[in-house]
This record gives sequence, C-alpha cells and structure tokens, in this order.
Amino acid sequence: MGPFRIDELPVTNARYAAFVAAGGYRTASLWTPAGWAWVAREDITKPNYWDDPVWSVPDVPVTGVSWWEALAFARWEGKTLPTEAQWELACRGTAGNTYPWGEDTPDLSMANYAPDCDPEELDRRPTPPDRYPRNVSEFGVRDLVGNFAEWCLDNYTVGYQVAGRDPLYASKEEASHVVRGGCGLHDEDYLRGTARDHYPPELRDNLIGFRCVRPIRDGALV
Amino acid sequence: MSVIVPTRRRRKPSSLRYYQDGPPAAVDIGTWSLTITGAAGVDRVLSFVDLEQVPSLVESRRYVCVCNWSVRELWGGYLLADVLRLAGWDGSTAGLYLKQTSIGTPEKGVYESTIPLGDAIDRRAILATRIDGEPLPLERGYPLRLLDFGLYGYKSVKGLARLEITTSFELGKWERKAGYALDGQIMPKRYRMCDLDRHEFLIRPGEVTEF
Repeated sequence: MGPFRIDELPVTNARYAAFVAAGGYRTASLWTPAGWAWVAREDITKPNYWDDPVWSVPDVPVTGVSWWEALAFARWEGKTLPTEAQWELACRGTAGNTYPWGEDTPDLSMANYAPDCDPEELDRRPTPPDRYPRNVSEFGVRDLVGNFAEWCLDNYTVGYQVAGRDPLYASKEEASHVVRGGCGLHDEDYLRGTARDHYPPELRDNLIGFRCVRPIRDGALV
Repeated sequence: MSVIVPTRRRRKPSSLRYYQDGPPAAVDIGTWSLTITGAAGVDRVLSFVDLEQVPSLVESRRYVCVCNWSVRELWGGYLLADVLRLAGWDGSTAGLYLKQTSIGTPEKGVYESTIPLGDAIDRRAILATRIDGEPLPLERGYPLRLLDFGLYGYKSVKGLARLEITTSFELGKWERKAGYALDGQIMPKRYRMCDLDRHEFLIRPGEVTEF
C-alpha cells in the first residue's frame, strides 16, 4: 500500500464548524454532482445533530453527516476519505492486531461501545477522542473504534476481494458505503479492526463520523 | 405457519425501547381505535375489541434492527391481511402501499412509515398485540404494532393509530431526516443474534428464517 497521512483524531464538531462557516454547504466544487444534487434537494445546511446540545459539543466527533458531507469536508481540507484498506491498516498496525490496542478483550475502559448491543444508558452520549487512553493504534491514531463508526471511500461488497497496490472498491456513488470501527450503539464485535458495516450515503443518524486522509506520493503530500 | 421456538434471550437490547415519537404517556384501550382508510375498498375504524373478530395467532418470528442486532420472539396478534379484509379490503395489491401512522405524542408528533402492501401480505406481516405471552409494553408499541419481518424494525410502526392504502411510496419524516432507506430491506451483514448469544452473517436480504 502506498504511504498516506491519516488524521490522528476523527473530525470534531469544532473542526467541522469551520467548514460550515466557510460556506462549505454552498460551494458546489467541494461536492460530487450526486452529492450536490442531494444536498440541494434535501435543503441541508448543517449536520443533523448540529442544534442538539448532547451531540454538538465542540470537542467530540461530528455526527449526523452523510457520506457526501464527509467527502465534501475532506475535499475542503485538501484531503479525502480513507479507503477500507487504509483505515484497517491504521487500526490494526503492522502486526495485524485484532483491536487498535492489540489482543486484549474489550471492556468499557477501552472504548465507547454497547456490550451485547445494550448501551449502559438509553440516552447514550459521545465521548472526546482522548477519553479512552488505550484506544490508540500502533501509529498513534486515536478513537478508531467505538464512539462513531467512520465513513470510508469504498462501496460495500460482500466479502473483500479487491486487489492492487491501493485497493478501492467503487461501484456506484449512490450505493451503500463502508463504515468501520463500530459506534456507541454497536457491540464489541464491531470494535474488531476487520469488522465491516455499511449504510446508504444519505445516512445522517448519530452512528457515524469520519476522519480524513491524504496520500503521499514521491515523498510529498498530494 | 405457527412454529414455536423457545427464546433463550439473556438481555434485551436497549434499542428495543427506542421510540422516535413517544411512547405516549398512556393509552386508554377503551377509546383507542385503528383507522383503516384509502384505496382498495378499505374504510373502517376498528376498536381493540373489533380486532377480536379476526382469528388470532402466535408466531415465532425474527426481528432485525438496523442497528445490527436481532432477536426471535413469540409475537401474538393478527394477520395484517385478515384485519384489512375486516376493513373491506378487496384483496388488490398491485401498485399499492401501506402507510402506517402512530398515535404519537404532543411533544414529538407522529411517526410514519410506508411499505409495499403486496410484499407485506406475501411475508405474512402481522398486527401484534402481545410479545412472549404478555401484552405489548408501551415502549414496544402497545396496543398494536405492525411487523413486516422482511424489513428493518424502523419500517414497523409502534403504537399504531392509522393504516392507509395508498399509491404513494414515500419516506416518513424521521426516515428522511435520519437518511434511512425507503425500502428498509434487511441487508446482508453481520448481526448479533441476542437470543442465541452469538453473531451470524446474513447473506440473503429479507426475513431471517434460518436462525
């Protein structure tokens, strides 16, 4: 796989606010044609939970953003979304760990998740990316699992059989896209670095956030 | 079809209690009614007692949540098709959909979801009044919940107040806001089978009958 830089932390509400303030939702060049048509049709100008005091705390990851909003934000920062392969490498490290922290069985001191799909409180809450000191991978990437699943660039396909140096499965933009890492409503199984999930690109529920990547070619960021 | 499979559930996922529009503080079963209206001949307001004219059933069916868990439970109630016939349904399904509307609450309004009528009939959708031998709790949809087991739970409205046979297939307000798919079909992916205490990968879309 080619080298890449990946965000140490998921995109927070504070970071996303700069995109909103800069007119990201009004700048067509940041969006794919399908994404621009969708955001116009649905008259969307901010994340789904932007006015909810529980989910809009500045230092927690932004949620309620569709795949299209996540990609537009990444483009605004001169980046893109990680491929499944990039996300998985960032999580599992060179040793191919089961979890970012290694092989230890998850417990509630390690990540924001729902044992047996049963959150401790029905009114669950997001957590800051540094809330769980062990939730960090070999490369220093934090909060990869739990809290919010993270959008990836790839479409979903049953089984993963994509080959090549920088594999990417792209079938149709409007089809389901992969999310990785599980969230506060998903169980420990989704914390595995290999666990795959998928949702339609329009999904804006408080299950999903994202982080960005920037490939490196010939020693320079592209 | 009425095969009873004992459940071995240890814990109920909290999201069984998720209720976007409620639950209502209370439902007076003496005044509650189900309005069935729209196309294909239906036009009737049914009380809870009226429903007892329809043969009752108890079936073991697997419910799947869009949040990646599933549970098999014993659902008691009535076949949707039987209740629609009681309301005058002529049996037609071509190009028709069933819009469900909940009782709702003054604070949050009502929840709406629409499903293809023919598919629901073919899949033996039910109108449930009981779960595991007990009346539905308020948080699970008392007094009546529609369940189409080929679809994710968000397509099956709790605390039902109204059914409308329509030619429009449209997202409900919450479905549109949250970005969930209009068809709500159970998708191939890995789910926690809460009653079996294990995970399974579901390969085929539609109702889960193999677990």
